[in-house]
Amino acid sequence: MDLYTGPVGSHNLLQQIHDYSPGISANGLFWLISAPHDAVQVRLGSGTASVQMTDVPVLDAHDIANALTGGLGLANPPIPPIAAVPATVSFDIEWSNVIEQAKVTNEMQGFTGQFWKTGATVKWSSNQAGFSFDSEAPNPTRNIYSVIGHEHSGAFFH
Amino acid sequence: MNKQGLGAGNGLHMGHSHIWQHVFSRRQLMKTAAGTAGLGMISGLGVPKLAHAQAGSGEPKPIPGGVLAFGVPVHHFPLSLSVGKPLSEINDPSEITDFNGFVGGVHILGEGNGTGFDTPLAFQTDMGFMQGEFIGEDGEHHNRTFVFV
Repeated sequence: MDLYTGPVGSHNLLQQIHDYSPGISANGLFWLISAPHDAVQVRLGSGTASVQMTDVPVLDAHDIANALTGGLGLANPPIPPIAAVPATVSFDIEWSNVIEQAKVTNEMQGFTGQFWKTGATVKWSSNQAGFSFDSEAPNPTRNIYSVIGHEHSGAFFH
Repeated sequence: MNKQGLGAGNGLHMGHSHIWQHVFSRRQLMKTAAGTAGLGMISGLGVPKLAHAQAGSGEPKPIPGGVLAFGVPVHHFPLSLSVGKPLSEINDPSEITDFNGFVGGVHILGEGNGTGFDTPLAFQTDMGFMQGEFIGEDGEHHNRTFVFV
């Protein structure tokens, strides 16, 4: 969950001002949190799903470079080191309006499953010392790429 | 931020698409992850316990591959680097392996209001969920729900 004062993207890193994530775990799990079962609702038959969570503790690493380097910044492009600070985020993500459905198998990545490409919206907010953010109302035209599905991977792949 | 803040053309940029670079091998990751600066920096800041998952615990295992982001290997694939890409060409939306369950992912751009800013800020959300059975670091089967933030 990133915030920019200008266009979104790595070509514009100097305009990124917040980067919220739970961090990377010791075993490499990437930006993942455990959630209550009822935080996620999936209805594949109708091509819909939702995720709702409130006041989730995260870190604000300021920008994606510092999020990935643990606050060390980057030499190229030049991103100054910035230490992460605690924050909370709340979000409501909704998947709906099926665009495409397909069985997908990827031998190289070791997963297979039935997937639905859908529309999606998000409404989210953040809070931390001295700053808070509230996103615009859910807007289906903001969706770039969204999927839901049921997959088997790794030991369940074959 | 003005409307230009969401990018030119159709008003949307692919955001992280320039960040996620080459696919890397598990061997390459294992060689470099231990030395990746800052993986230990998350302790003590009140983040969820999962952020401190250790090998041998009942926590899930990360997907075996991933991409390099600014030279840092991460166990993550962007859903798709192209808006029009067919569903059959998506990357694994899951962050965990040995997994049998529901999964979802979104990439959404937008804008909103932030403290101290007179004009809207641009945002990007690259998020998802995993819900179902997995084999954990302890070799046991578990059934839990995770959210990719």
